[in-house]
Amino acid sequence: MAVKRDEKRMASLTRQLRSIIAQIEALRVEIAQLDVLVSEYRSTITTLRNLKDLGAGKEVLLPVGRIAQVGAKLEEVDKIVINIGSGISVELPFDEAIQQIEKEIVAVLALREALEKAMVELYARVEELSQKIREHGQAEAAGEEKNEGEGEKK
Amino acid sequence: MREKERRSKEELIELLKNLPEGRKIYYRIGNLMVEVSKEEALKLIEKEEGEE
Repeated sequence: MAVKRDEKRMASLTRQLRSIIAQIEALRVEIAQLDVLVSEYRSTITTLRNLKDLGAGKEVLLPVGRIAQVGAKLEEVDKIVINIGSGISVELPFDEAIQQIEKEIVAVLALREALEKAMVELYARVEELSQKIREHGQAEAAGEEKNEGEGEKK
Repeated sequence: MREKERRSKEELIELLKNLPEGRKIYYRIGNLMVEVSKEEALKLIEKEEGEE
């Protein structure tokens, strides 16, 4: 009876551990996606600044689909159209647009920090559960040795 | 995470309402960006909200 209870407890601990590891993995994927997003935002700011520095009249290539590009002349880069979500984009003055992107970066980094904190907590839980599993395993092994010893005496 | 999910609809509506007059607003339909008025943009957001 006690053996069955022990097995159940072990199975439950292992299940919990697997679930937490899956959660950590999901968080890791999400954090990686946020990193890509921040990197894209930073690259957008650099590109916008470079385009502004190049100034009006420069010839640029406009992508049309995946493999084609057509030439276009750059106008003054003083207004930027920024995607604000839900399919809506608004025209903002250059500095305001840059500020908007920087604000997005701050928001994404805050979210990233929260996810990292959650991941640290989950790692602590993994450590705790692993310890419990180890102790459980050791207790089981000690019990089996005791039973074998008693069997030999008889 | 998509842009769409990150900003709440309330924030979006607030941002649009506070946008100074004369600023261009676009709505994405497939690959096309269509210029819309502030009122049209607000209606589109509300419509999207209703569909969710």
